[in-house]
Amino acid sequence: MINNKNNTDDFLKDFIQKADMESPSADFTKIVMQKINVAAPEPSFYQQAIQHIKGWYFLALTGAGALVYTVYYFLNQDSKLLAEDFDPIIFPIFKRIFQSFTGLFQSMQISSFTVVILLAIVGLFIVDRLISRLKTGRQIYFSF
Amino acid sequence: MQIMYQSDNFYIEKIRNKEPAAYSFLVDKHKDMVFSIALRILRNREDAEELAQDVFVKAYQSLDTFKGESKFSTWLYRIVYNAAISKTRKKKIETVDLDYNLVDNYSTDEIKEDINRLGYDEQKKIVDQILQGLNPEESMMITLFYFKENSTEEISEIMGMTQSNVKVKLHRLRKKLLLEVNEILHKQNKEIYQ
Repeated sequence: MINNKNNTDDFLKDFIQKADMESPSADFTKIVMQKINVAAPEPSFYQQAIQHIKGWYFLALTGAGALVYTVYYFLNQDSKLLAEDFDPIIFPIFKRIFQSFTGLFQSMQISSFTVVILLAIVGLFIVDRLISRLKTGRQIYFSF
Repeated sequence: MQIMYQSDNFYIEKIRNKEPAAYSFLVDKHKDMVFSIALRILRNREDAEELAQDVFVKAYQSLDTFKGESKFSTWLYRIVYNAAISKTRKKKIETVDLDYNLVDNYSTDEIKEDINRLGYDEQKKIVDQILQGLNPEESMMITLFYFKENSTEEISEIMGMTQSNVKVKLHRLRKKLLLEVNEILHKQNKEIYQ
C-alpha cells in the first residue's frame, strides 16, 4: 500500500515537474526594489533600549521602592496627598498599611532628589515602551 | 547561469543590519515560486505579477514579524497564498470538479507506460492542461508538494489546515490527477483511431 503510494508520488512528481516553474518579467526584482524604496518604510526591527531581564528587575524594584518611600514620606509629613475627606473607607486602610511600616523606615533617609531620579528611571521605561509601540504600530510590548 | 544563494536567514540578518539591498537576493531567489503560486491561483499573468510584487513589498514591511520559527519560504508562501485566495474570492474562477469516487479502473503502472510513450512536449501539454483544470487549493497543493517538495507539515502551515486534512486532500488529489491523465490519454487514443 505504502509502496504503491510512493510509486504514484514518484511518478506524479516526475510527470508534473515537466510543467516548468513560471517566471515573472525580467525586471520583476527591480520593480519590487523600487516599490520598496519608494513606498515602503524600512522594516522596523524592535530593539529594547534596555536589553536584559536583570535590568528590568532592577528598575521594577527601584520603582516600587521609590513609590513606597514617596507614600511613606507624605504620610509622615502629615501632608494631604490623598483626599481623606472624600474617601473615608479606602484611605484609612492604606494609611494603616503604610503606618505599619513606620518603624521599618524610621532610620532610612533618602533625599527627594533621589526619589525624582528613581521615578525618572521608571518614566524612561514607560517612554521606551510607548516609542516601541509607535514604531511597530502594535500593542504595547511588556514581555522581556 | 545558476546563482548560488546563501540561506534566507543570511539575507534577513543583513537587512536587519541596515542593508536593505540584500532583500533583492531574497526576491530573486523566491520570485519564480511566488509568481507560480499566484499564477496557478489567479490564472492571469498580469494579475499574478502585480500580486507577487505586492506580496514581496508586504513581506519586506512585515519582516520584523518574521520570528524565524518556520522557514522564510513557508512564511512567504503563506502570504502569497492568502493574498491570491482573497483575490479569487473577489473574482470567481470557474473550475470543473471531477468525481473523486470514480472506480479505479486503471493502475499507475499502466498510466506510466502510456505517458512514457509520449514525447516531452506532449507530456508537458498534458500537465499544463491538468493544472489548468484544478481549483486554487489543489493547484497550490500540487505546486508545494510536487514542485517544491514541501512536507505535509509545511503545507499545513502555509495553507492553514491540519496536517491530517492535507494528507486526506493529497490522497484525493493523487486519485484525481491519475484519473485526469487517464481520461486525457483515452481521449487522445480515441482521436487517433477515429
